[in-house]
Amino acid sequence: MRPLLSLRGLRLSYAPKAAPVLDQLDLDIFDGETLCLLGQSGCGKSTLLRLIAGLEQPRSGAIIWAEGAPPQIGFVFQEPNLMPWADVFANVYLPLRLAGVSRAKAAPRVMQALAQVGLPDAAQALPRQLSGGMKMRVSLARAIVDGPKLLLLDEPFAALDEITRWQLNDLLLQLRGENAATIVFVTHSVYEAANLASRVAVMRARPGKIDALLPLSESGLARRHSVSYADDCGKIGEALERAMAKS
Amino acid sequence: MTKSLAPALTLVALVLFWEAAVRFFAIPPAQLPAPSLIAATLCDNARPLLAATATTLGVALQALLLAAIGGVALALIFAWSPLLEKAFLPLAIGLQVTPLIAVAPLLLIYLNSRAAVLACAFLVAFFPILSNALAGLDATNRGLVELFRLKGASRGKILLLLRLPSALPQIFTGLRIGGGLSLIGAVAAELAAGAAGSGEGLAFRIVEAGYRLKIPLMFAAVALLCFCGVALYAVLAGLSRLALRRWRD
Repeated sequence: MRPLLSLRGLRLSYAPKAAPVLDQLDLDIFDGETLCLLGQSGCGKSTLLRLIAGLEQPRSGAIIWAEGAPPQIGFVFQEPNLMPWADVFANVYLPLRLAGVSRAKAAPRVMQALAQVGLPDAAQALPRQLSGGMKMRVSLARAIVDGPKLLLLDEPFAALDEITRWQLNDLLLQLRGENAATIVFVTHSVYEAANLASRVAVMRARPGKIDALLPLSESGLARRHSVSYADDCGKIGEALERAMAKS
Repeated sequence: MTKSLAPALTLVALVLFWEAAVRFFAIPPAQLPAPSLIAATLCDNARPLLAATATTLGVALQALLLAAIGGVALALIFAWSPLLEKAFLPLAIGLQVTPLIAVAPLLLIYLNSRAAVLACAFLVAFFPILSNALAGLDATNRGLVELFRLKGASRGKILLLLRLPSALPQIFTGLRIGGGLSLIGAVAAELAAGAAGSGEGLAFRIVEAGYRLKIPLMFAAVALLCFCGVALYAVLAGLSRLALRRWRD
C-alpha cells in the first residue's frame, strides 16, 4: 500500500512561545486503511485531524499528499452539527450545493447516501425530529455524499449510548466496504479502536506525538465478535498505558 | 385553553376592580376616571384619536422597517469585516446610550417634525436589532463554519447560507424588542416636538388633553398606545413563530 498522505515533523502551537500541542509528529496514512488515532484527552488527536483537514496550519513540518493536493475530504465532527432550519435532504445536500451541483442533479446521490446510512425515508424530516443516533447518521451521509477519498471522523459516537455506538460502528465498517475511502477515526475508546481499525496510532501528550503504531490482525464487519478482538484490546490498552506513562 | 384565557381574565378582573373602586370611593373623573368613562370618551373621540393613532403607529412602523433593514444590513457588514465593526460599533453604542429625550430637540432643529419623530423612533429601534443580529451572527455553530470552510465556501457564502439563517432567532428577538421601542421613540419624539410639531400624533393628543384637563381623554389616548404596543408585539411574535417554526420542538 502506498501512503495517501505523509505527515513529516509536524509542530503546532497556538502562540509562538506557547508549549506545542503537537511536536515532531511523523505519520504515514495509507490508501484504503482505517487508522484510529487513540490517546488520552488533550493529547492532540483532534488537532491532528484538523491539521489533516486543513482547518489548522502547522507552525513547521509538512503534510505531503500523494497526488500533490488534498483529495475530496469528508469530515464528521463530535457533534452532528446539522443546520436546524434545514431538513435532512438539505443538510446532506450541503457539500454538493457548495460544489455548485444543482438540487435536481444531486437528488439521486443524496438519496443514495441516506439509504447507505439506513435513513431512506427521512429526507423530509427536520433535525429536531431525529434521535441522537439518527442525527449522527445524517452527519455521516453528509460526509460521504460527495464521494470523499478521505473520511475524517472526530470522536463522532462518543456521546451516544453503547448500543447505538456499536450500530454506528457497524455502519461505518459497511460504508468503508462500499465507498473504499481511507478513514482516520479519532477515539479515546480502546474497544472502538479494536473494533474499527486496520491500524491504531497511539498518541502521547504534552507534546502530542505518535507513540506506537499497531497493525491489527484482521479487518471486516463485526470485528468485536472475532477471536482476536480481546487480544487486540489488550495490546492496544497496554500501548495506551505506556504512552500515558510517558506523557 | 386556560393558558390563553389567563391574561384576558386577569385584564378583565383588573378593569372590574378599577371600575368598582372608582364607584365605591366616588373618585372624581378628574382624579381617576372609571374604565367605563374612558371607553365612552374613546367612542366619543374615535375619529381624532384613531387618526392620531394611525399617525403614531405609521411612524413607528416605518422606523421599525428602516431599523430592521439597516440593523440587519449593518450587522452583516460588521460580520463580513471585523475591522469595520471595530471602527463603527462604538459610534452605534454612543448613539444608543445618549438619552433620546436629549437628542430629539437637536433633531427638531435640523429636520421637520415628522422626519425628526421618524429619526428618533429609528434610533431607539435600530440598536437592539443591530446588537441581536450581531450576537446571532457571531454565535454560528463553529463546526458548521468549519464544514463550509472545508468544502471551499467563500466568506460571502458562509455569511448568507449559514450565518444569516443561524442568526434568525436572535434577529427576531431584536425585532420584538425594537418594535416596542420604535413606538416609545415615536411617542417620546412627538412629546418633544409637541409645541412646535404638526400636532398629529397620539402623544400630542395626550399633551393637548392634559392642557385642557380632559383626564379621561388622556387615559383613552394612553390606552390606545398601550393597545398599539401590545398589538405590535403580538404581530412580531407571530411572525417570529412562523419564521422559526422549523427550530421549535
